[in-house]
Order: sequence, then C-alpha cells, then structure tokens
Amino acid sequence: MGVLPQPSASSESLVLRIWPCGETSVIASLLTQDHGYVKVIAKAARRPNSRLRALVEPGRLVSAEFSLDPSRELQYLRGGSVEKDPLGPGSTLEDSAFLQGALELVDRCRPHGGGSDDQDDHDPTAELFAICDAFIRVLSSRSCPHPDLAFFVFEWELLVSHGMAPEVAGCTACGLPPAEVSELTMWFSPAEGGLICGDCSRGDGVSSGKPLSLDALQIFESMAERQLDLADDIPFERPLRREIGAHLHNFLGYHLPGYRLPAALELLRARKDPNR
Amino acid sequence: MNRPGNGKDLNEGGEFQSPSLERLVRSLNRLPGLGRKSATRLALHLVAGSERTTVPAEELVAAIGEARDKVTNCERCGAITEPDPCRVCTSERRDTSLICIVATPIDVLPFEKAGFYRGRYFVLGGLLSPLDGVRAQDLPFGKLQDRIAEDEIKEVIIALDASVEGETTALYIQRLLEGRNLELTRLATGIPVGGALAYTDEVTLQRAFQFRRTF
Ligand SMILES: [Zn+2]
Ligand SMILES: [Zn+2]
Repeated sequence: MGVLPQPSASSESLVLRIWPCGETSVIASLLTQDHGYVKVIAKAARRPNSRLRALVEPGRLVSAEFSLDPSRELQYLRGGSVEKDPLGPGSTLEDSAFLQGALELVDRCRPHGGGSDDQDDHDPTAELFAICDAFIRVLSSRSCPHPDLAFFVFEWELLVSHGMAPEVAGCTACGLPPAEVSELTMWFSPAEGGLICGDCSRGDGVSSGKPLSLDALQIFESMAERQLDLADDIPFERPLRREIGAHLHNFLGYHLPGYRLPAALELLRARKDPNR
Repeated sequence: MNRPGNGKDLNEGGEFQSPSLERLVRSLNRLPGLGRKSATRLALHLVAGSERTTVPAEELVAAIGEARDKVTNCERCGAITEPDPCRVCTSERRDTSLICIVATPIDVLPFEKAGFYRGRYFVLGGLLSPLDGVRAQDLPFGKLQDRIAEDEIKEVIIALDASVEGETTALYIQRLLEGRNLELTRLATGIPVGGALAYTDEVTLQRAFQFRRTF
C-alpha cells in the first residue's frame, strides 16, 4: 500500500451519501464532528473482505480515520469502526425513510462556515453533527415508538442550528403567551417566525400561516424546551402527525435555503393495492 | 515541451505509435473490470496475436452482434434469456409457488449456477434509492404484485444486497405485501463460509450474532 505522508484525522462521522468509484472503490460524503463536511475515497471498499466496506454505508455513525490534506478535495479513508447502524435487524420502512430524509436534508442544507478552523466558538457543522448523532442514536436504539416524531425533532433542531428556531412561547406579533390567548384558534406562520394569536392573525400585513392545534402547540413547546422524551409512547395519531409535518415543512421551506421535501419520505406512501 | 526524448510529442497514438490501437484499448478500458493494463494486454492479443492463438476479429464482432440482437430480458421475470419467456418461467419442474426477488439479471446467475433453488424469479431492475433519484414508481412493484396474485405465490424470498438501498427496498416490499397470505423471507446475512471471524466487520458480526441459531 502506498504510504502517504499526509496529516490525518480521526473523527466521529455520519455517512451522508456514497458513489461507486472505478471497479472497487467508493466515494463517501461525510459530516464529521470536528472537520465539517469531508469527502473521502475508500479504496477497494467494494472488495468482499474490505475493512472499509462497513464504514461507507449511508446513515451509519462511524469513527473514521482519514487523511486531511487541505490541497485535496478528496481525502483517503484509512480505517475506523462503526458506532451505530440505524438500519440493522428490526428496522422498519419508517426508520429507513426518515433516516434517508434526514441525510438528504443534511447534505442539501449545509450551514455556512464550520470546521475546526473557525475562529469563534460557534461551529455550525459541529452543532449539526450533534443533532444528527442524537437522531441516529434514537433510531438505532429501536426504543423510539414514533420515528416520525424523532424526525420532526431533528427538523426542529435543524432550524435551531440555522438560527431559525420557531417562536412558540408567545405570539410573534403581540407577545401574548398561548395560555392568555382568549380565542381557541392559534396560527403558525413561517413568515412571522412562529406562533400568531387569533387577534393578530386578522391584523394588516400579518401573514397568518396555517391554524395550529393545541396538541401541536404542546409538541412544539416541548421541542423548544427540549423536554420531549422520544422513548415515551405519547399519543401521536395521524392527524397530529400530518399537522406537525406540514407546519415544519412550510417553515423549513420558508427559512432554509435549498430545502425541499426529502424524496425518501415518499417511500411511506407504499401502496398495498396492486390496481392503483 | 518539444525537447527530444520527452516522448510526449511523439506519442499521438498513446504509447503504441498507433491511434487505432489506442482507440481499441480505450474502448476495452471502458468495459467493467478492465483496467488500462488488462485492456492493453487484450488489445495486443486481438491485434498482434497469431491466428492460432486468438479469436479472429470477424468472429468476435459477429458474436457480439448476434448476442446483442438475440439476448433479451424475460418479459415475465426479467432474467437474461434468449427464449422469451425464459426456461425458468416455462419449466414444468419449477415450483411455481416460490418466487425469489433479485435486483439485477446478473443476480439470477449465482442461483442458477448453484442449482439448489427450484422456484422462479422476479428481477426488479434496481433498488430504491431516493438520494439518487430512484423512486418507487421507477421500479416494477405493480407488476410484482400482479405476478404474486396471478401465480398464487406462497413464499416470497427477498435476495437483495445488505446495503441501505437493499434494506429499504426489502422493507418497502414487506410493506406492499403486508396482510397477504404468504410467507415472506430474506436471505440471511452474516459471516461468509470460509470467512475468518477476526476479519469480520462489526456490523456483519452483530447481524450474524443476532441471527445465530441453535445446533
Ligand atoms: Zn398576537
Ligand atoms: Zn423468466
């Protein structure tokens, strides 16, 4: 093997995407904890007994060792170990769809800056990695009764990491906390940045967004407070799931450059009826 | 650049002083599994080999042409075949209640070579990969469901890669077939026969452990 006198790095990483390269190699795009987005080539990873093979499967959390040559666009993956495999035995179509949905978002909506070279303390890609890490660990544990809720928490945190956290502690127009809103109807508005009370929703120049149910508000509140225990089997029925999903989708679409509904979520529309 | 002995100015035809040979090497080089070195060896063999040791070019060209004309994908199962439907699909000796789902026509070959499998096949022609734009509507899932209903299939064996795409496709098929009165099985994953435990990656080992069996 060629010995390459390059500096190397070892970092917890999430495998985002892979592409075959040549006959036996694989190129992988990683989100690393310490070095931001890194593209690596795993030489001969598609050979049967390659020790790199297990490291280049999308969605896996790996402890990766790779070269770190700033003059190169492509680093060499040298070794490592698999930390978490979210699609192991017992996984479901939901796990797979939400996992790939998250990978797509992380790959497409990249925060600016990041990597260990940043001067200030805030490292957006390290923060993004932490969000992904938490999400993958929840999926891998199989202890989460609602992978969709775990995905929504991921989306929420993605907004937070981009500095776009929705405001749900009070009406974004008048500041009234939800408990004091006299009307039953509340609204969730991407353009206003979150909650809008009934009164303000009728105000001039206010973009009211879509109605927000009390159940959805409660979930958003616990997301904002980071008090949602994903191992809890809370009631999370289809209408509520749809509402939360739609609110977040609209919010992400409004605030996150490059966002679109992840293609993987279409997998959940699997039809059992052969005569479609 | 034009210093004599540099060589670059002389080799219009690559390293061979022959543009046509260079073209042949490049064509062969584009085939899967053929690096530049192997392509060169093959090209030299075809061009410079004696009549006794090599295949005459016309014969090779004719064989490629004929195979491309006649070989097709079985309209029932998708396997590579000349008679259509293929012999597996029309054989009386095959168990018609058993269907094995594979990703590509090539995946049929190891089963047929080994000869232990007595059922039929269904070739998907790919794997679900939303990240690469391969969606459910791009694969023949409707045809698969029709086939399972028509042939009164009793067991569906999923023989797909142990990759994210393979896993996703298997889970998708499982969802499609949920509630049907049939057995749905998957190939086991684990330590290969003759494989050394010490060189098995942790994921493979974990799966082998999870699917361990009693003696
Ligand atoms: Zn208000
Ligand atoms: Zn056939």
